[in-house]
Amino acid sequence: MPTEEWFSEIHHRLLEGDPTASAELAEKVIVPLTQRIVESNPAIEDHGLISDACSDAVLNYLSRPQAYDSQKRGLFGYLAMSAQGDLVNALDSIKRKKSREKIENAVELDVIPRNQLSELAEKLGRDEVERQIAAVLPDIRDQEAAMMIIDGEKATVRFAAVFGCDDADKESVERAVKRNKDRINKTLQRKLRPDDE
Amino acid sequence: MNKQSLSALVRRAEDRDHFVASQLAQFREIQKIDNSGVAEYLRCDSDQLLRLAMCFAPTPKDDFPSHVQKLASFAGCDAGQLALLIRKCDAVRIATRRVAEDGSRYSLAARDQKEGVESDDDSGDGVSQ
Repeated sequence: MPTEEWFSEIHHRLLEGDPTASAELAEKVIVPLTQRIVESNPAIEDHGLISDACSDAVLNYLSRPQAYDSQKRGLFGYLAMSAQGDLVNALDSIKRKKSREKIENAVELDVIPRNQLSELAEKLGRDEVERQIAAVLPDIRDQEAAMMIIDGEKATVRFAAVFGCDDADKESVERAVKRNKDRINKTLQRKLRPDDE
Repeated sequence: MNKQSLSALVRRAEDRDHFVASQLAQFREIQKIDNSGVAEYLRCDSDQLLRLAMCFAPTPKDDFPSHVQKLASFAGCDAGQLALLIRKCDAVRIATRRVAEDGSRYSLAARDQKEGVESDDDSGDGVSQ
């Protein structure tokens, strides 16, 4: 491990724009820095994360050496603190990503995919489907639209007639039909069951 | 561990223009060669290439010959070859930037022309002169 004098000298050379000082610092510091962060985080098995955090700390310092205040702490301590900060941020980001994926997977499991609705309706039989739809969609217009969705109806104009919104302008009709269809679809995907539970 | 850690550092430095690592990576791409090909071109070995990669690349403000000489002496590679490598990368970088600027200029001109034609159409009152 280099001495404080060495760190101080290399820092001054970097401030002066010495083109080889960056390589000298990198060679001397990257291994002890990585070891320090590995030792401080024994629970982290992914050493790639640690390596990236240490590399970024060194590169950030080399890119802006003037951001380091030698009055506050030693250069090695500064780099270790910076690497530890980057590592914590990287771990937080992974944790957030995993938790997002978990929620998305949970929602997916709870929903019957749209293209399986018709298949399920066929399996249950028309009477049973109508019975289940009546149980989950009390409005008669919703029930009719639900059967149209299951039957594969695509025409907006037919849905508009069912929802009673066919006298507005084209854009408003399309918006209203989409909103109602989405609502019904969601209900069907969540509540239609292969057997009467 | 030393070489492994240093290699990982150099890989990340390749994304930062002010390190020679970025120019070495660009040269690899231009020449379609790997690091050993670059080392051969610079007449040095892989350890010397790693040393060189972490140095600061010359900027337009620097005295180019003395900067390159300093890098070559430090890393133990051929100064003439290093100068050629850096100049080649600079030339490609400038040419790429010009092509991109020209492309966006032509796109803007084409858009202006199209908007001009459309606004001429819009401003007409439907009566032929």
